[in-house]
Amino acid sequence: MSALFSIKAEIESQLSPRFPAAFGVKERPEFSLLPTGIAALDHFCGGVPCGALTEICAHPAHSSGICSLLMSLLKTTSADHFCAFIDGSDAFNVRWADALQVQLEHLLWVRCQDRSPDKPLPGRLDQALKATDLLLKANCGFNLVLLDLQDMPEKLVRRVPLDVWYRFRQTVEQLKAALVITTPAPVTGACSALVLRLQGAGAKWESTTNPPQRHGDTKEPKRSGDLVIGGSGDRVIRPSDSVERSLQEEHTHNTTLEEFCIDVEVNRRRDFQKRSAVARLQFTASRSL
Amino acid sequence: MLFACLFAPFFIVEAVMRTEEGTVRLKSNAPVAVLDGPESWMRVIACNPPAAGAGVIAGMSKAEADQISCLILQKRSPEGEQRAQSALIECAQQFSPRVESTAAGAITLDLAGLEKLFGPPKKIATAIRKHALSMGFEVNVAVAANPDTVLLIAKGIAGITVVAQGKEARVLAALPLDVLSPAAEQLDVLNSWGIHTCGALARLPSVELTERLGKEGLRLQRLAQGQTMRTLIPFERPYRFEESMQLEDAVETLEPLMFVINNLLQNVLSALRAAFLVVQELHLTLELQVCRDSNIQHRPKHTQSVSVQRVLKLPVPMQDTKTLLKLLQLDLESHRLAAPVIAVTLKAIPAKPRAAQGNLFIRSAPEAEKVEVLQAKLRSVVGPQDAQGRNTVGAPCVVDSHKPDSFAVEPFAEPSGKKKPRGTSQPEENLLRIYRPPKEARVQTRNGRPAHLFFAGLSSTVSRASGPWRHSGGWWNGNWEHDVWDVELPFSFGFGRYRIYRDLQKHGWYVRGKFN
Repeated sequence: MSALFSIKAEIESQLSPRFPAAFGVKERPEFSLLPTGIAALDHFCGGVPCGALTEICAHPAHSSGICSLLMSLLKTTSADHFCAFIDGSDAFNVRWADALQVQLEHLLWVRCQDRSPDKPLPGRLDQALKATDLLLKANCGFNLVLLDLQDMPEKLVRRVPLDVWYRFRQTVEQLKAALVITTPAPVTGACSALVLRLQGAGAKWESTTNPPQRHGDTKEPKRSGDLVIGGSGDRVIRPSDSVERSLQEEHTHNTTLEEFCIDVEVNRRRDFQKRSAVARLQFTASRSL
Repeated sequence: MLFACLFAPFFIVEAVMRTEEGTVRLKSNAPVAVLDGPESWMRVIACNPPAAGAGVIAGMSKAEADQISCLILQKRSPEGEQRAQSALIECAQQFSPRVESTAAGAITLDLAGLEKLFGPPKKIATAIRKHALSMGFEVNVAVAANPDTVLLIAKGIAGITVVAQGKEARVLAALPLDVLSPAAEQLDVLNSWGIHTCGALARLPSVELTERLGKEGLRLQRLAQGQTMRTLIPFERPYRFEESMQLEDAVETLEPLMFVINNLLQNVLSALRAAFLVVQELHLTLELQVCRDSNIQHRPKHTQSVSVQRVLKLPVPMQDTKTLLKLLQLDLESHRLAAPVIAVTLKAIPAKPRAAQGNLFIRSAPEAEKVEVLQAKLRSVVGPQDAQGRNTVGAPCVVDSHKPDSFAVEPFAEPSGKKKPRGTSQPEENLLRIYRPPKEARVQTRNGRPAHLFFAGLSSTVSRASGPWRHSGGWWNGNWEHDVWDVELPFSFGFGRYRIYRDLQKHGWYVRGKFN
């Protein structure tokens, strides 16, 4: 056995100067982080890692808060960086982004379209994956690339070969850009450094004697603070608080959906930070500015 | 400072004696007269010395001119005169870079600094005259220190005249008043006073002359004295950044077509580089050979050409051949041609290059050329526009409208630095993930409120609903009228909160989006 080790050591010593990459240990550089703007999440893992893939998944029919998270990330990132948003479902809300003061001129928006007889296009999923591939290969200097596959059928997304995600991961490692993918279920496996599973919780429906704020009203919109979407943590709204009222008893036109809570399961992989960890967090998505 | 003027006294005749290629088609000793005017009233307006020797005079009718044997009668040709003027400019540009097209058949040159290259002024004038003669122009050449004076001397004195500085008035004195080109009334007045030469005009008292003939009289006197001084207006050839190619055989595939376009593009770009300009727009015109008859045997007889134009508007002016070629290729790939191409024309709209100084303390924007190619590639993947005609790739921007989901997409380009008004949108659409187009739904109502919702394969009772709010507008242009509800649907392990509306015009329910 010792003879084998000595032969191996001898071969390595002869070949290592010629092929250093094959025998050296690749030191993964420290990830720089893009803060999400959600205090609880940023406190736990610092934000979204650059040069790595982050997956955010949630049930497509639920109000899971994925868009709130993405908007908050865009708001904090677009101020200083250029971002690209590959919108697999063409669902980006421009007015919401504008109200949040996202730097829209720093955002390249790619809207995938449905196939039609006069548009011989591939399916939306193929369009989104091709567009992401092109965008990453072009190396145009986008620091954050968002790929939104949230509303895609889970079956289709699961069929995407793993090597696609692996290729994306390899590319963003070289680019030092953050790639964030939203999916209906976890599909990227070990390719992602950070996985967030989001689930909507209770909502706050605010009933007022005054009519709700509509356009044309002179009343100033309500401002709850600096952050539009922030980690409240201390305020938890249970579903039972809001659901149990009878429909007949309330005046529905005076009631508006103000905010809802989001439970986040954070799965931090080993290659992202020194040790893997799983945590449960909560933040609130608020409608008022 | 010295100026020279070459003046062709028989310019109109020499213009009709030249071919389109610039060669002289008639012998110089052939008597030629040029006719102008309506067909029934054609008159001789100019003739060369052999024709004048044969008895032709200006103003003679065509019938009278026809009586003169061996006389060649030609109609006046404005196009030919333009070509002849260009030839004279080319002749002058052989000697000086600063050349002014002063009048028809008259070119003024700036001779400053040419002595070292061509020798003394007399030698330069001789060389100019000789070169003009080789091009088929009999010209008078004058050299003086005043650009107006040289023109008058070249008009009035045949051959070569070199005037020393300060001697202009003496040379001009003998010239007739015609060289000043005065108005007919003023010439009549001056003749009635017995003034027939420039010298006589120059000696008149200025104040009294101005009192009688006004400002124009004073100008004529200054010209006659050789005292005017003006700046030369150099001739600049109008740049034409257009190249075209007629193909012997029609090209059916993109690869050989791109080869042709590449050649044209390189020529256009080299012309642009010479003028220190870059491309702002590219206009590609393709002439397609459309076969009217499906029978291929009859194809040569039954083809017609249809022209197709593609316009490439660049958000930032650029000059890189590879980038522009790639953009053209992507554009042609996304817009398939219906027939083979028989002719290609490429035209560039020029712009001044960007003069932007980088700032060390500002994060650099994505490279404009790269982003433009990337956008073109992305457009080829997702299509250029959606069903509403909005761009599919670019930077989103808010439009000034209360119509639900109204926005625009502009080409992504380097931020201009101008601060745009932002954050003006109402909060009513916050948290909403928009469905484009809205999803059709079936809604069961109880007491006028949604109680059960079916859409996109989902079915659920409504546990909470708020609304309705009437949302309407656009009565002047495609109005909408919606009753909007926000509803909450309980699922097995979570909630779905949606915005639905009842379209009061279509009488149907739709899901606008999901609160997410």
